[in-house]
Amino acid sequence: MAESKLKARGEAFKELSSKDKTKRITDLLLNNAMYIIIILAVIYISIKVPAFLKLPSIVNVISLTAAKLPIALGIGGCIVLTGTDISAGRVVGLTACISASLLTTTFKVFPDMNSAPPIILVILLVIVTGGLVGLVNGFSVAKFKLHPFIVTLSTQLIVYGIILMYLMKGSNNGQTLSGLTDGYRSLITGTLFSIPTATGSVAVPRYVLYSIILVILMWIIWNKTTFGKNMFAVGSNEEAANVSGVNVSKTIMMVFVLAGMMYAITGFLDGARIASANANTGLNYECDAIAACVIGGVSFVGGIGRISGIVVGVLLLQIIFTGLNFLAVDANMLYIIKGLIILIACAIDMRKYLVKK
Amino acid sequence: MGEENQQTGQQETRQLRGLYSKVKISVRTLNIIIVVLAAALVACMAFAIAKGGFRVSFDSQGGTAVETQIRMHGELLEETETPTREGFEFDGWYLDPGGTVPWDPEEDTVTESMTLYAGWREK
Repeated sequence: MAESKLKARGEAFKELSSKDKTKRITDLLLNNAMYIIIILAVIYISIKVPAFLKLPSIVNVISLTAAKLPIALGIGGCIVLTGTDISAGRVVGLTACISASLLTTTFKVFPDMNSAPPIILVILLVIVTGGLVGLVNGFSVAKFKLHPFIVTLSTQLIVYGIILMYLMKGSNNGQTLSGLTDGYRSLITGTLFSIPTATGSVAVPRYVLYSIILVILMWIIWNKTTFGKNMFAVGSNEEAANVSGVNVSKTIMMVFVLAGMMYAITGFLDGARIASANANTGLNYECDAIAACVIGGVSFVGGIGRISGIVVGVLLLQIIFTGLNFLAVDANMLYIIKGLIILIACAIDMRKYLVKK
Repeated sequence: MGEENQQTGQQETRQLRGLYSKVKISVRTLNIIIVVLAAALVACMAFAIAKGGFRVSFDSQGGTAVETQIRMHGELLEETETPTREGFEFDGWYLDPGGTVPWDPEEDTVTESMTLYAGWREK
């Protein structure tokens, strides 16, 4: 059946005038320009550095993608609401610091503690912290109608101040937190399963599984719950959603709270993954997350986005930057490349919705 | 939402919603922008790849200077001249100034730009 559909489309294409044909081809090329460039880059890199396509490299890319997915999933919701959330990175940093300061063997922030609290307690604590920041963001956006940029800019700075003061507590004096408990580290970075290769085996870490669970969870929330439908309705047209009975304020607040909780989980995972936490943990994470969302089709037009798109966006970005690293590209150039990618993704995004009839 | 346009097959400026609500741009301009930016991106990547190479600098921590090396991903270090220092014996290269994480020149490969620090032992 798919074959006959393809045939029908091919025949319809031939029927078009040559002017329409060029228009169709231009549309196809330009709307997918990002993917084309990335695929070409991957091909080039695989030829130059064959190690890029080997199993350890692939597992590395998948692991890094899994680490950066939860924050992108959270921020995706804010973008669907035509907003943004630039406090994301700092919330990740705060929750990483909280996790690292509690689940450690050398207590510096709380020198009076002798044993680490149960992990489940720390998880709940950081989720509540993230949700609280999200609540402050969401409340200010919903009730005071402030633009999310202003609100999250303020929360970003406030959370950074909290991180700095938190790290000065006890006997720590602003140093990096490390020396995490074995239980914490093995829970996150322990081996999920090993893939045997010719020269040994490659281990897939556990946080890949947690990321997959979060992706499924967010997919259900976005597509199968009333909250998800409301989120898309408010993002498309706030007045129309209000008129048709959606509680706009509550929806906005819940989106930001959910985002905050996702950042908290990212921080919890990152603390163990990097095996340390300091005031710079999480710095600028939101840039990568927003870029991934835009590449993945979550449009700034509002009310449009798919979880699968976000996963693809994070994966593609990670592939590009791992590949560029294999080619020993100057790290400073990566910022310029990242900026250009965001601009191109935005231009393509605008074009897609401008041309739609 | 945007104004519905009765004339099909023509691309003129339409109002967008959301973050683009104040944007008035024609599809032709956007096409040009996308192509220019994509070309700039490819140019940047090509330029960066051509000048690729991680810089490994050597901090001899008081001894004679050792030249910086440019290495590609996954390569071992080239042979370095052993630095000298009055009253001290060279103890090898380390990843940290404190001399706790050693660098094995036979095994360890370069995966990023970095600085290696000289370890010294008193004679």
